[in-house]
Amino acid sequence: MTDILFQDMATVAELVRTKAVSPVELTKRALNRIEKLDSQTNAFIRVMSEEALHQAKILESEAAAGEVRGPLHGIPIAIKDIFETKGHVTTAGSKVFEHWIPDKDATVVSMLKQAGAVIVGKTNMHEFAMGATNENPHYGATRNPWNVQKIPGGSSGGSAAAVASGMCFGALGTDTAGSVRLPAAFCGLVGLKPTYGVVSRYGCVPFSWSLDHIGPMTRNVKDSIVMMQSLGGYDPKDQASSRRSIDFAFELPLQDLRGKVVGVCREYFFDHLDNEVRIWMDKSISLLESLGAEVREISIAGIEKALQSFKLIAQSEVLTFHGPIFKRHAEMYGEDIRFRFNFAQTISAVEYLNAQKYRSVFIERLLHVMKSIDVLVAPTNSLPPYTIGSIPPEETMNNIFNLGKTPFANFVGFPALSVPCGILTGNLPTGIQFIGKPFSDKQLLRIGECFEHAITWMPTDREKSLFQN
Amino acid sequence: MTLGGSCMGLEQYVQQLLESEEEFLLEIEPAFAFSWDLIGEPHD
Repeated sequence: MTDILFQDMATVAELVRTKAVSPVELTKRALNRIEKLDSQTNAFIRVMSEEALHQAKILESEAAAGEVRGPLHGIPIAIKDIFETKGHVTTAGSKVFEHWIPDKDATVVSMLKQAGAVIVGKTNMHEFAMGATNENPHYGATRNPWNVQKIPGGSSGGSAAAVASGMCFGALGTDTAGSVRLPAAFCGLVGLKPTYGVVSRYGCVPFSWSLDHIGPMTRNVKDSIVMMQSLGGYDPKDQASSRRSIDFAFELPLQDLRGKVVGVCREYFFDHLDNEVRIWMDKSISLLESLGAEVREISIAGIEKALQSFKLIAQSEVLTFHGPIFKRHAEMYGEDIRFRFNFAQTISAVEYLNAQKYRSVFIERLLHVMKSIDVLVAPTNSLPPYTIGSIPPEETMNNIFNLGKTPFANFVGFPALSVPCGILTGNLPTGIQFIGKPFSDKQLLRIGECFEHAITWMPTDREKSLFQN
Repeated sequence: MTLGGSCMGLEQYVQQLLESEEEFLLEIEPAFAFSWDLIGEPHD
């Protein structure tokens, strides 16, 4: 029988509701698993045992009185250590913030707590979310539970490793260039980058304000829906927050994809792919066709310029925040971050503004192209994960572009979902990415769920697939 | 260097870290805050 820690959230929520399992028992199980396995993954910067058990006891009393807040009631969840937690150090994976104790919770943290989630700890990450390997010079490298010689991907690699190894049921990550989706793909998880503005970033240490997103990382699509039920909504404290709400309530799953048009753009998205990744993508696209979707080849002009503009925007905005600190305390930053900032200092204001101007033009163009399709599919990762320690620091800035096809969706702000679609040599999961039109997050999740249910070649007992290497 | 011990906001913490009179601003001028309001929110 599958360990309860590997069950889906809806099943566990029902067990909590019917008092078959208690929030305290669940939390203790999660904390025990962290204690047993985290020496192998280094997924956590801080485990919050005391606070988690305190919260679980409150939730247990509520459940005993028949007051269940919702499907996250009593469910152990982890959060990336980039989110402010009142009274608890928030490092953002850095030495710069190693002593910072915030005076408030980030909006998303408040929302999760309100929904009854038990926060078991704060996860390891690439320093300041600026990299895809999760090799952190201050808190150590995080290891991929599917193959501990490999990176889990980043920058939300600790969140991915924690969820994949059953230390929690879901986690929060941030995604500025693919930092939710890439580690989700490498760790066999579902990762959602919602439409820009759907989830508030207030109380999250910024990387690039116009590219930053927050999203859930879970073991299946339905769990992502559960988390999104608590995370979406307008927040006046985030200037980019949208007033347009999305209803993430459950609906009956799609039985097939008849009537849906799936776009495939070969240029860029299928360039420089690992051969096995390509094989799994071809197989996945055939599966979408067999589910009744019409697969249509499309062309999108100007992707290379879009990605160049992305780099200019990301590096300019990151230096706006870090510039004054870096000027005074450069020694506190890791070597790879220093390479990044040295590049950022060469970008002019004109280049930044031209990149933002091109962004609006490109979004209009993409909206026009996507009128004829429901969703665009692409690989999440281009390559298998690197071996830990194999990439020199000066390469870090380019890692996300070499490893993934993810920054595209950040540049346009469209929602993007990564779903596991195959296993590469070395017991390494790979992912397919579904990119939707703005605010079509719910449809994206439903299409992803239909694909996930139809796929027959992924391991059914994932617990047995972990820690084998 | 050890700061902290007491709870504080991000701006205040960075301000202390900088040990400078120069004001550290976290908020972005709304005109530069990329949002669907600025670029026009798309409709289905």
